[in-house]
Amino acid sequence: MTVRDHTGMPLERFNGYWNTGDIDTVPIDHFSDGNNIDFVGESSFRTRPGINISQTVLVPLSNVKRIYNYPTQTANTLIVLTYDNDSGMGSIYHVVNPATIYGPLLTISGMIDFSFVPYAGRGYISPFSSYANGDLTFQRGLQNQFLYVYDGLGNPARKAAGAGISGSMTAANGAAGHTDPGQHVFGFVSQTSSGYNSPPTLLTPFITAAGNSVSFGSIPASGDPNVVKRLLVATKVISTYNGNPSGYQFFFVPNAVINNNTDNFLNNISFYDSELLSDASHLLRNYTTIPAGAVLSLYHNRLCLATTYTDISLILVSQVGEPEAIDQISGLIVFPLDGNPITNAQELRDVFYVFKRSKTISYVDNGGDPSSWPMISIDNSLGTSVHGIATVLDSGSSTVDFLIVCTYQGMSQFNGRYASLELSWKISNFWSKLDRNKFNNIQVINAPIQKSIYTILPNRQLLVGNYNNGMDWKNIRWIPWNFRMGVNAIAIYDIDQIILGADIL
Amino acid sequence: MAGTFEIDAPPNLSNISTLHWVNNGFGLWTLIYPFVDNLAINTPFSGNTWSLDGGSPISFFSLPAGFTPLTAIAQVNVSSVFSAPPALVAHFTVSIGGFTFPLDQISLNLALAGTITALDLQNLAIIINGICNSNINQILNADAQVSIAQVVGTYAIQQSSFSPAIQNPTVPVRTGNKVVINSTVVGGINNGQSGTGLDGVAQIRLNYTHPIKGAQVITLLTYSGNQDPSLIINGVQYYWQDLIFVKKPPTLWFYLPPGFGDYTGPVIVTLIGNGIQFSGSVGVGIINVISSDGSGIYTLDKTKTSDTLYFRSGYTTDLRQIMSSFVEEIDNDDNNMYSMLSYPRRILELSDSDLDEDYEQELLMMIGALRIVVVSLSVEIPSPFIKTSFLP
Repeated sequence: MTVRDHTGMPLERFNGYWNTGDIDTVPIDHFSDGNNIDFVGESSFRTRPGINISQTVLVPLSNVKRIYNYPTQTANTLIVLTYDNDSGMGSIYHVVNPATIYGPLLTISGMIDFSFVPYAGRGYISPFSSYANGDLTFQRGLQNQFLYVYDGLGNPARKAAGAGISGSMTAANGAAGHTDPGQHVFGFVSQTSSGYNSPPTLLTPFITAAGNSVSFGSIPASGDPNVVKRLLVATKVISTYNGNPSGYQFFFVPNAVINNNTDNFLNNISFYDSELLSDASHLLRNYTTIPAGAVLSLYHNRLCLATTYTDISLILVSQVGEPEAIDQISGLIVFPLDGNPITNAQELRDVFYVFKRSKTISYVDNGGDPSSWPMISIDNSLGTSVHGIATVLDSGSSTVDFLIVCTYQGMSQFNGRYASLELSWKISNFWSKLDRNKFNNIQVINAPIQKSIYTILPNRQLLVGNYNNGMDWKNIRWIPWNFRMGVNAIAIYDIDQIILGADIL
Repeated sequence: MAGTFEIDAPPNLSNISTLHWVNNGFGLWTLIYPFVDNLAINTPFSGNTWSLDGGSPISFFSLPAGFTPLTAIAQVNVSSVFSAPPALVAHFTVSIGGFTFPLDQISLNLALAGTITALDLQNLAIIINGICNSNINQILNADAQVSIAQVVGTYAIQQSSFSPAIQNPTVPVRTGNKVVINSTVVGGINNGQSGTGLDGVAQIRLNYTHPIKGAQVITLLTYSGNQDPSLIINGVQYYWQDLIFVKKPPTLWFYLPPGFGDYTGPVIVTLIGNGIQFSGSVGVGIINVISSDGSGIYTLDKTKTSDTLYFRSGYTTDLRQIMSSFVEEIDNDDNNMYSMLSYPRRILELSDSDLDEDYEQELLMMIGALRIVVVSLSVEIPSPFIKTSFLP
């Protein structure tokens, strides 16, 4: 056969990178290798889009280690961790827009990564780091560090929760009024600007009289400058007082509030025991400082923190709507111990899924304390890493009805079970060569507008999966992208703006 | 052609190698100089330290083409001096070439199955570790001094007509820039083979000495299995596609990879052969690298056909207004530290009247503050390409 007789073989579709099995088995409509191309429409491709600098400030942030979306009450912003290689200090900044940056909000030695959850305009920050355990590298909360709360306004982040007011106060009969006469114990709960209520302190026994109100004096101010209110709590009448003021159930006294942290008195408070409905006793068991963990998540309006430095299988779950109020007894969940740390947690369809590197379980809120939630084992071979679940737009969570989860096997859709085949099946050889001890560097976003999944890989490549032709293992089109500098963090901003972070390599 | 060679550390090597130990009072001994657990002497053989067949000292880059060490024995003499009391015992160990041996065993045969190259010898590091065992609460000064550090061995000159050289070596380069290597003499090492030898390059080694971190090496692997090529930065391998392009003949060119961090200065370029077209290492020359920290926050821009990167280079001085008593203020009020930042920072809690009250003019002063200059730099998108499947 001559060249003239050769029949051309038109390549009409380009379905991306194929790297599974032998190279001879690459389908004719796929690439055996490729780099830095972008897919156009159903079957075309071109050079990938360029990147541009994001900050116009005089001194842009450098050596960026992690970026998260931070939706505040008024804007879609970014929260960014940088690291000083010389001093070993990690610093967190709030990037409001290209020309405005707040911070450092928090600077901590050895902070090479952090977990983050936005809540009611505030940001909850938990520094963590990597630790070696034999041949395994895993992540857990930074030693002797805490959960921090940032107000979103540029003020330094502060430790979440807090201790009660220290000192003592006086109680006396006030003006004519009413109480149920008898032995009570009174105290004060301090409330911070983030709505956290401290454990009751200044506990003072006092016998009230039927025809009198109660007045309090010499009330100390809290040493915490973030305290904005102090609320009176009281027991109901105690028939036989045993001398232990903290051994009784406390309730918030209605309308008995000092709306500042300066006044030292609260006079003429009248109430009946029947009006004491709002329980404050659980505050006595709350953490006053919450240890840092590698995992932060939200479930049923509760803040969930896991993998502290001292306990890699423990999940701390807050009260509903009170992210800083975590009961040290009923707010704890223990993931069955297997020597591996909890790596991630995510709500999907009203179920709370918790991941280790190769295990997935779930908990369901039964309306009781978190420690009573039933556990269901989902998968004993697949799990994920600390940033291995794709975030969608600014939600930091699932797309419509599934999660995209990076496992050791590949990138999978998860809707309560892992779909088979995994999305990345076509590049399984490529995926299997990624360093498992660096899976903590994987960060994923799902950009529905671009119909693409962008994944930061441990080798500082960006893996792009275009699902314009369908989100299944057969139709998704993969291609790696490279940049002159190493990209190691990614976020999505203002619906469809892809943000990349680069560190010094 | 064969002969003997010798590499001698310069005489002043011992001046930087004294370890001083002091008992901390709890039975543990601490190095008080150089404040680390061990003393590393990186690249002790820099400069004109090589001598062939007893000849005059020459530098590594003056070695004849095809120089290949056949045997090599490293010798390090470390003398120790203990001030008092004699009952205390201190031990020193010396590491060289990745091997550790006690003080009284001071020579090491480095001829390990021919794996030692001339470049390896040039980059040998000497590490002296001190261990002082005593629970006596007394002061002890124990010094270790390097008096001799040398490598002796035999060599051969491999026949070669391979003479690669860097194009425009005086033009500084930064990460992302193209480095072009020309080989002007045609003819491979093996008679009858065509080409310049550049098609037989298996690795490109970039060696430099960081002022703080010491000897550093970045290795570009032109072939590394299924995900070739890749990049090894100080021992950590990255699959970094398409930094290297081999054109045959007569040039090889590659993009200068990341990994230099904040380093600015000379970098030694060496080619390592694949054992077919040529074996061993061939020095190509020196390139001058400019630090180009490109880290930061970027956005993907659909309208751009190139990458615009941050480029940090050089310093400038900003004038800044601060409170003259700012040190005391920082102690009292953390918020004041923001006045030292070089980017806009909102003052959140002070109204105008507060400002007037707290920041009176007589408390303000102007100072100069160093700042790294950051500009943007446009570079081409690195090698977009595809390979189609195997077509029948």
